Amino acid sequence: MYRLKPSLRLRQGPAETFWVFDLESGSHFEVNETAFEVLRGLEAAVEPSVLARRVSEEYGIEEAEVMADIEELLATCVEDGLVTKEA
Amino acid sequence: MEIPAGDEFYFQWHLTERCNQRCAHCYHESYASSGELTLADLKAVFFEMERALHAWNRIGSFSLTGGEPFMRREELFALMERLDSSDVVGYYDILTNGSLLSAEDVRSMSRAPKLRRVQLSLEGPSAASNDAIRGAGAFNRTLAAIDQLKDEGVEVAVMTTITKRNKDSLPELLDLLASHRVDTFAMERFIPEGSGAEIHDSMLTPREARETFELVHALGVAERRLRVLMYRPLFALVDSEDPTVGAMCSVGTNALTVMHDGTVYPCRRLPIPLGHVLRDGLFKIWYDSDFLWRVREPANLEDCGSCDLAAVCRGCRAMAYSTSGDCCGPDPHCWRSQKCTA
Repeated sequence: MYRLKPSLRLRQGPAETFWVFDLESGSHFEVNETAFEVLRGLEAAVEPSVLARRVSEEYGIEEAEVMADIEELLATCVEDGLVTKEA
Repeated sequence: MEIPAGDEFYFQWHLTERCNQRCAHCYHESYASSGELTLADLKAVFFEMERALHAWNRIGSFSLTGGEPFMRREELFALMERLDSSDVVGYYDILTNGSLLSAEDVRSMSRAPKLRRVQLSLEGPSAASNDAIRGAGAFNRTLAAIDQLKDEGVEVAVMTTITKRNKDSLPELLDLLASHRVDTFAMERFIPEGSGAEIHDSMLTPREARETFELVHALGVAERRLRVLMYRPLFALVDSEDPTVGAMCSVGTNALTVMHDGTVYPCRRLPIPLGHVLRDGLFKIWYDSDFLWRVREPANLEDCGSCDLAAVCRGCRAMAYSTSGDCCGPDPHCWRSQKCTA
């Protein structure tokens, strides 16, 4: 189970930019649209597997392939402290 | 010291709303200054500002003002000491009416390493024109303060709020300022808000605004005795090629105003509370305000969204808010706007 760090805020900025802000540390990151959608899904407590299914259906990509990409992204987010992984 | 705008974040910091003058055009509604922060709170506010500047990797520029900031002399000098010793402060200005300055105050300011300039206000080149707005005796007191500051080597700026009443006297005003060794001159358009709402008919028409911008630009380009600052929205309409002319409205991009009680506004002339600097913190205010995100998106700005000068102008959001009730509305003085009749 992945959870977004509670102090994070997700915002779409001008000119199709996507941002993650940490209200505790003040740090901020620009992310791509896919990462943004995944993090937004976590914010809304949507499971990564559900997100993978949605992306797969929307773009006609193999669900397992999407899930692998999401897992890789989430692993990076865990490393960066943006997301926690709970048992 | 001039810092490239992209590296700078500006705080306009009102230490009090109390004032010993009652200028007719003032943006303050009240001078009661209720909820004024203590010195300990002011230092906590500065700590929060430093924390934000560090996180954003920006250099801070500050205006310390009021009300009349010298009504809190002890707190003002204590904060100046903090700003002077901070590694994230590029410079600061003090915005004062000058009437309460003592000789010792001026000497102390002359020794403050990061004090860039002291800004005073004049509304015209004569006692009659100035004092009609700022009160009897203000003209002579301001000139005396300018002379006092210059004698101690302090850089002085004069700001004029442009209305129908004083728009034609700017050449004479610049002559006066030069004769008193003033270093820089800047103008702001009068916005009918706060106490100034009572003289709303003093606001420039679109045609008058255009003529004034063109006049100030012409005077500024020719002026050799002092600098005429043209880092303001709409100046880019006069000359979009010169990088020293025009500046994007700073709302939502690189500025915040902190009021006497800790309330944060996007700009002092745009009195929409975004939160409290100590209770909410600057990160929440800056990152999580729907208001700021709406203004940041150029497509949301009526007229400006499709203008090729949006990156160096965006009109004045405070003027738009005051005249249309919507901060994303058109700047009524923009002569590129289809709604403008100038």
